[in-house]
Amino acid sequence: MALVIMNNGYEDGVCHLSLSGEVDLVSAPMLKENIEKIHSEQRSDFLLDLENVSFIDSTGIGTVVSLNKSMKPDHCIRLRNARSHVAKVFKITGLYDLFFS
Amino acid sequence: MHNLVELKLPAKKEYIPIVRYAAMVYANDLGFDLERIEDIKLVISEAINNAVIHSDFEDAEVVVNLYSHGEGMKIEVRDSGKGFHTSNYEAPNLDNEQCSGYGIYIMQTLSDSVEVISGDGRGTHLIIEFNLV
Repeated sequence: MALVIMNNGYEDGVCHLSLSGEVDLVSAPMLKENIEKIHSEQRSDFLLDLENVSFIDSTGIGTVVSLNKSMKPDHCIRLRNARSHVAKVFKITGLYDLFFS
Repeated sequence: MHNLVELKLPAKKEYIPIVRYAAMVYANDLGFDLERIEDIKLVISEAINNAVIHSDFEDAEVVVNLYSHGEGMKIEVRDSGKGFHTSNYEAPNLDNEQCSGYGIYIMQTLSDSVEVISGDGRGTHLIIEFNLV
């Protein structure tokens, strides 16, 4: 299933995006490109809603880590609403607290 | 190899979901629960990711075997890519976030066993086991 990224606009200076589908080796470059484009047009923090993400692999989480590092120190990415098996990937790699706090 | 399913695919990322869905159907048929099926989907994706990333030459192929084994299933993934010295593998440092390097760690963490047979220029052969119990 392809990845769909919906931009829900800004709230309190944070860009809200909803992701649907699979974040993997195929779709991760598209996620990176989209967020980098939005961030270059308006600097802000990002909140990604993962409720409709059915799958994420190490290239997906690596992309989130890479984007988050590139925004430091002024901005960051945070995640929410991940399904249990998607959250599990962040937990076993020690990244859950960083992105879901 | 009981109930063998063999897939031979171009080593291109666009084919990875096909392997993921085949593993999902196979694991479901063997009676794995939904949580374990998600583990299997992730592990086989990581295995194919590695094969695709390290087989960046024309006409490269990946061969995947799924078969039942005792009280569970085995997954074998073979590529003819660059390969690597397994003794050089280092697990990721989970105290520092990394942009890459989690693939083998995820496979080892979520499966019951992973055997890696590889060497410089000799491709890589992964044998991964999931037990039903």
